[in-house]
Amino acid sequence: MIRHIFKYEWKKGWADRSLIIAGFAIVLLTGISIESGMQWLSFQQTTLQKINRAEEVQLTTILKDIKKYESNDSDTTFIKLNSPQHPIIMYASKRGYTSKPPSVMTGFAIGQSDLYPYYRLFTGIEDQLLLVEDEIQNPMNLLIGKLDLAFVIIYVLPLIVIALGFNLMSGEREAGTFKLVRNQGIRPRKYLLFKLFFRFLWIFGIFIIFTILYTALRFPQILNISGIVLLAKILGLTALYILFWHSLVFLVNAYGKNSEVNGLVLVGCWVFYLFLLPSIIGTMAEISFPVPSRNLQILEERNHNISIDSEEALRDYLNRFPELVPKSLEKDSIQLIDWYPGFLAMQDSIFQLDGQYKNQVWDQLIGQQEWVKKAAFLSPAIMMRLSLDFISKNDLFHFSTYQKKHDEYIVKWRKYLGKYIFRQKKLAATDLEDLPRWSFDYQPDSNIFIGIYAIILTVMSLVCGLGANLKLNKND
Amino acid sequence: MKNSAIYRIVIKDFVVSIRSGKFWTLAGFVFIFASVSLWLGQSQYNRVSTIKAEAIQQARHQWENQGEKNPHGAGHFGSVAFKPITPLYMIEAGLTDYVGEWVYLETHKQNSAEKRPANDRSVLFRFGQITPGFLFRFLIPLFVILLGYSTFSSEKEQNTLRMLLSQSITSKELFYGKLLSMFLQLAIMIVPVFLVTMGMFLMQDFSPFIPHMFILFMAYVLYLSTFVFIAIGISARSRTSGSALILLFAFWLISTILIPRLTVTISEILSPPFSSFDLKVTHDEKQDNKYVYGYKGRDDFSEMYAEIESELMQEYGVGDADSLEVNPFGFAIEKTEEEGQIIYDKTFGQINDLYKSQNKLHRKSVAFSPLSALHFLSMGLAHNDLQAHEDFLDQAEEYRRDLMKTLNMDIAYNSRKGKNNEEGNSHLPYVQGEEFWKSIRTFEYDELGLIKIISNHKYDVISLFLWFFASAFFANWSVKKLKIN
Repeated sequence: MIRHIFKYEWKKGWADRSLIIAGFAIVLLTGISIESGMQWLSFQQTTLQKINRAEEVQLTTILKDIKKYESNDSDTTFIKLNSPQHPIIMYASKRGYTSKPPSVMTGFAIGQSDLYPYYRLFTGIEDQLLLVEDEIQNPMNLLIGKLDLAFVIIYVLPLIVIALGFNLMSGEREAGTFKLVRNQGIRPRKYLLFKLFFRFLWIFGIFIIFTILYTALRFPQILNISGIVLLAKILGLTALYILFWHSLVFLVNAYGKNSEVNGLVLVGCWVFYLFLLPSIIGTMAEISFPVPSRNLQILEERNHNISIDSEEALRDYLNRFPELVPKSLEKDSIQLIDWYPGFLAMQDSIFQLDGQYKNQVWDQLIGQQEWVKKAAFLSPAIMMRLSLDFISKNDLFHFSTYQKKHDEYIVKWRKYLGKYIFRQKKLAATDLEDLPRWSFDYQPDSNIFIGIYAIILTVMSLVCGLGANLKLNKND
Repeated sequence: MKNSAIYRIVIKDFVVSIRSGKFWTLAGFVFIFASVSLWLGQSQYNRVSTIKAEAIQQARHQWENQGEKNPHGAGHFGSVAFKPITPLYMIEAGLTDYVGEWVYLETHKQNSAEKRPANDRSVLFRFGQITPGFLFRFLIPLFVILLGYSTFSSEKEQNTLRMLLSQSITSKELFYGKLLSMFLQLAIMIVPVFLVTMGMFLMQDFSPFIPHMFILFMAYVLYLSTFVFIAIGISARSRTSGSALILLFAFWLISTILIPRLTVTISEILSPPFSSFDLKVTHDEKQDNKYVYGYKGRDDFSEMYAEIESELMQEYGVGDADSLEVNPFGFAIEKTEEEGQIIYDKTFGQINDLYKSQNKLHRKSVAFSPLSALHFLSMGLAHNDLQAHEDFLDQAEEYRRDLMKTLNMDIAYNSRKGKNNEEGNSHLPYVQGEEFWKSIRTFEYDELGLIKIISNHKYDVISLFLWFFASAFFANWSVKKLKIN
């Protein structure tokens, strides 16, 4: 029977062009979205390559200059203000770089990566040296959002499921063909289920085949072992998500209303799950975990700047890093201006305040995220969004981890160079070679929540299917 | 009048509609959503505007109370310019969350606007927000479709169209009758929202923005009317209500969701973005590390200082620098400012050029999406579009340049007078105090006038009218071509 139903559905779908149009829409939008995502991934990778190159060039030049000074310099206790060996000059002008390399899955789910910085430049006295603090992004494009594969999965595929399935039974009833089917002894439940199964195979089949083929042909570098595993996760979740929407279509069709009502109900569900519920949950999360104002942050930091006392700051600084307390000066010590340590401590004090502020903001954002994660089971679209962002490492959690590591790294970096200011020592080439280097590896993530979401999606699909089954059995 | 065919059609359709649960469900939803979103918008507006007002006041207080210091030191301490929001923010948030909230104004450097509020919002923020703008742009057009998709198709399905036309009712009367009934239903949905919002504006002394809001509502009416016409036109052309619904829904999806996103993708292909790192590199190359002391820095400042000093000696007719009444340092530092400004203009010009070239495509997309036209216009009216942001940045930068000039000229003309004179060439011992800081004007952002806004968005206005007339023509034509099977 299944073969006959599939054959009939294929002929019908071919004749009214619905399957072709749906297939074409999936292929077109999937292709465009993968291109768009990969363009963004390549942009990030190219930028980070340039930064790494710039860092190498900078370090090589400084080392070369230091070595030149070392070979020419006979007076070990004198230092010029423009010497690369001058610790305060290096502290203030040597640029450090930190970055969060994009996951290859960014090409499929951009997530929050267009909003949060994925690299930062800094010196000992400035935490952000770029002219524009965040990456340059047209605000208009940020507002509308990029067309990535996650968008196609979350927004477009459910609509295609609805468009192909809203009148599965009602259409046949309205056309009078349903009676003919029943007369042949086919049970409506099975008939509807096979019709839906055919559509599921068509939609998901085209999507999965095209996604894999297109990626393999255009971006083969993505499909290494870890890339394949991550893509499999995305495709697996997509299968469950599409299954949920098919189950919903099954349930709505089972109630035997006309095509109009089915269409209205399904479109209503789409709007509810994709717009209303996320807006409501998002608003409630923001009310529950309000983020402190950035407007007042800058003013507080400026107030601190006015009121800060260098001696007090220095005392605090040395309490934090007692190993920097100057001991008796060594033989090769240089004469440095007295206020350098105080200046360093004052800068550090401002960084500390800034860090406290940032931590408050991140804590609240993480609070919001946790809240949203708990409420996500209400909407399959939210579960998908959180899961895809997490898989592509473009969610809040990964960006907050990067921010935390960046903060820890610059403390270490500053302390390393600060040591030479406190000890009044020239920088040797070997000292700079030992300067702490940045590295960022993604730790194995606890992604239990994705598994839980997968189970919830399956359960939701089963509940809808069961509801439809019960209703159809009753009608039988 | 009461006996006219149009009147009878309007009444019949309207009564049928309001007796159905569908209309009241949708109207009730609009009212509840609008009320909640207005309430949320109002509290968000109150919160943000209070913080901004407090921040503006605090920034001024900090400036005036920075203590006694050299004016150049005050230039480094600088000031902060905050972009205020207008009451229309509660209806249309526009780009407010995607552009920086403040600019740090300091000597030597032109800074970009910092801290995008979007970075501090929940991840779900990007699914859409509960605002009246969202309701009018996305949801009410969908409701119009739900109310209008079966206007003619159901008459065809129930075979009542043949009866209507056989009663000597012309297709024109049918068209106007159905149209007026739809407008009546639409009016019941949106007029209360309009009246409540107007009432809020009047009660809270937002009167300067009432014309903006009035124009915004007129734009909403044009936009929603376009959907009414398209719904009627497609309903008249479709054989069944189901196919009309699918077609209309496809139109809604393509014009409100897909076209704007596709435009983003295409705009980034046609005008590829550059990173802020690239920008920094080219900026540094242009700047050539001028006046940067320290490692790899050049000491051009000393050469320039000497040149200015000798010019001043000639101008004032003195043979020795110590006899100068004016301080060359003030002129020299002002010159570095002016040279820096040329470089910064080019650097920030690069960003503006990128946005402009990408936004050209957005502007063109209004031909395919009435939503884009409405969105651009509503953001303009709410003072939170890109033009408003750039205008704020321009004014802040103008203020910064003016402020730095005032400080530098104070050093130039006043630092050698009086008690601080004995320190020779150095400007450092010279200090100014509260009275001087107070004499410097506060930064006040002067918002774009309504005429300027309309002129900025004239193509959006024209586009909305074109959509309105084209859809009206389509609806009229479809009804004229009605076929009875």
